Amino acid sequence: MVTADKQLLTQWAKVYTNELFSWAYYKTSDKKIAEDLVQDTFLVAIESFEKFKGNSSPKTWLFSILNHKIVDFYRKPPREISFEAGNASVFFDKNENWQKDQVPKLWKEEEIHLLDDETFRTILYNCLQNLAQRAYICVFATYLEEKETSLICQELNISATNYWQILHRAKLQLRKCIESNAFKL
Amino acid sequence: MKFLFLSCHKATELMEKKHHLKLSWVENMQLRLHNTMCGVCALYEKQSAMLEGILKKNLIKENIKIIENEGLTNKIIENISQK
Repeated sequence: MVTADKQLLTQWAKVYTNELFSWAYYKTSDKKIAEDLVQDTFLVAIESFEKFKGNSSPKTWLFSILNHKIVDFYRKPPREISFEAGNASVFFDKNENWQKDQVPKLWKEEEIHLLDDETFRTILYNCLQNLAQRAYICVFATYLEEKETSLICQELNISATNYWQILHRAKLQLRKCIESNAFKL
Repeated sequence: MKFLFLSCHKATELMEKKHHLKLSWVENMQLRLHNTMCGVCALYEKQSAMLEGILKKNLIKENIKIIENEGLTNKIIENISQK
């Protein structure tokens, strides 16, 4: 690699590493994995630097490489699935009625107006981190990437029923988590 | 008639299905019937719809908090210099 190219890539590394890392961390919620993915991204960038014609911005290019890496990462079999879809026994009793301590409480109107603030966002992110891995992937594919249901099911190798059961469980968990952290009841 | 009655578990599950896929008309009826009889689930449906909006609005790239990672930056710069 010629020195000029190296200098340019070094410059990009300085400018974009934090952003790339934050994105990868956000998508994987694992620091080590996120770091590996960003390092891999730059390895690909070094190798295919010749192919980068400047049709897109360096940032867009690097992010597209990273996103491929993230997708590849999730394509591997899930490392660990900590719940089975449909098992919502935390929330419902054996007659499928609400467990007493899980009954949704009324959220106060005036507090709902505070939802835009930074604190709430932090709570939301923290609650998302608590989701089981598979639920987390489902939520992200659905809301962040806005993928089609059929595509998500295909990528995660699950049935449509399974898919909304996972989202159902995730929503129950998120709702409860936000209620306990965001609303003074 | 019994087939029209849902448990709270099934009712909330259908609410989720409704957000992402289509409900059949039987399912729609089951859900409406359940909500008229069950205040808790009706409340859940409201909050769930609100969460749905929040998730759609908040989960965008721009809102990600940027985390400084100087160690990683240096490592990558070193990788580049060795190529």
